[in-house]
Amino acid sequence: MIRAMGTAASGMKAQQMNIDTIANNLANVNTTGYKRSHAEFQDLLYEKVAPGDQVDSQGRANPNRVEVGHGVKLVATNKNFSQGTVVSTNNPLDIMIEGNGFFQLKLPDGSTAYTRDGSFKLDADGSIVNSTGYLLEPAVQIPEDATEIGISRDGVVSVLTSSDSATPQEIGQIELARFPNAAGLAARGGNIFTQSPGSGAPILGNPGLDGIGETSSGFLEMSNVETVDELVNMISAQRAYELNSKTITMADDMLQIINRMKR
Amino acid sequence: MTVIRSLNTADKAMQVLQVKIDALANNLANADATGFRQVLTRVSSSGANSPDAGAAPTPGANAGAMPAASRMEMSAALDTRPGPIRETGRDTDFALMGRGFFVVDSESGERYTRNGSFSLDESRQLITPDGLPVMGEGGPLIIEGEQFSLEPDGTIVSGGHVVGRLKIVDFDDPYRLEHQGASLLRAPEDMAAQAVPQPEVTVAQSHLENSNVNPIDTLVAMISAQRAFEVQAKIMTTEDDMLSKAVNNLPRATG
Repeated sequence: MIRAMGTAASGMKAQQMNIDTIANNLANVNTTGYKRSHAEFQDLLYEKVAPGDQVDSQGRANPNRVEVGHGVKLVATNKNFSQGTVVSTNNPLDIMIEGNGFFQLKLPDGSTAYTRDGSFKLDADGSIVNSTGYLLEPAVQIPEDATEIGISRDGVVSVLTSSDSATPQEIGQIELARFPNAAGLAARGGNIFTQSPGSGAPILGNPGLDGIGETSSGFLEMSNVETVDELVNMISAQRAYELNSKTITMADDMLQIINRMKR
Repeated sequence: MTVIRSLNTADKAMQVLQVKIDALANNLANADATGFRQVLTRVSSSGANSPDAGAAPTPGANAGAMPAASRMEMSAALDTRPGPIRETGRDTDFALMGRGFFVVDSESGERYTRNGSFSLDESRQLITPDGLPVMGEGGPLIIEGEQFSLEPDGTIVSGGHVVGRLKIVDFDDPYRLEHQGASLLRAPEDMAAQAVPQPEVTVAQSHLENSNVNPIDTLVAMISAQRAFEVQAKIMTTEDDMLSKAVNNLPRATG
């Protein structure tokens, strides 16, 4: 029957996914380390049809074949890993990565996850953990008698203790991971990513070396969502949704015209 | 029988218009598909009344011109006009600003696309969203190094070294390219791809080209095709009335 209906339905579904993606970006506008996504679309399969007369007035076959498509599909939601906005917090355990790289976290099942969210805390043992309680990898334990914590731009963690408040003691080193293709990482929710076949294996290194960004203590990286852009995208997605619904109405009208022909 | 013939013409016209609306609906559904090229359909009629024969296909053209009692044909062409460019901030998004197409290596041979929404796989090879390799002048492109940049002429530079150059091709009659789906275009067998000379290539990094579908033109073309469809339906019912009168109201031949 009329292909236009199915085609327009695929358009509406695609725009719905687009709105869902935009809504998720907007919902995470204040999420530390969140990276915005963008929905990418591609056309579906095509069919060759030859409507109208099959032979011309001299009896030759009509060579014209018209390709008719069957709509659109969502092909990927691309993460944009550009740097988010910076907020100063003055908390030494709030660490921002300036440039490429991810913090490594140890998940309870022993596997490693990656995050850009540097709002770290201390657990009961004095170990550095993220907001969910996952241990920073490699583990750094702050001594009980520490009075001040400092993290250098190359990731060295040092403390002043109550017994020695003059000379800083180095107690650990933050190691960051970068990926051949960070855009291929799998988002796991809770601001963490895991390795995927598309991302490639992590390349570990100290901050500031081998193309890995530097750590900046006392700052947080907020999301890189641009509210105005997202709202503009949302309006245009809604209008595109509306246009496709018009196609359905139109195809419906045509079917009605056909039905009215036989009285 | 003249009346029956015009019934037949109206039937053909309705079939053609339905396909035209299908094609327009597909253009509209792909209004947000990156690098999409719309298909322009042209309804033509050979015979005595063909006021628009030879006119260039434009959206909405001759949708309403449907001369009665002539032959209906339909042809289609790819609209090769460029779409608007938008900034994305992803360094593997490429937009072709001038003429030409990116070349993609598919299982069934070279395919062409204007969709430059590429990414890198785990071996840092440049691929399409479907994982097909994007071709450089010397084969697939592998971009080593953390930061890379794309020169406007398609040369990819990473860490101060030239990694390769995007293969950009064009055709004598690009409007004859056929859609394969998934942003890919296929060339008919009798049309070969020709490399675009380096000075004519303009590629922008961190940008994407939108589809070249104009929603307003498309909707207007759809409305006028739908009305033309309605007119043909009206013609059919009128012919049916006339036929009915002719059959039922003629004086009976009485012996």
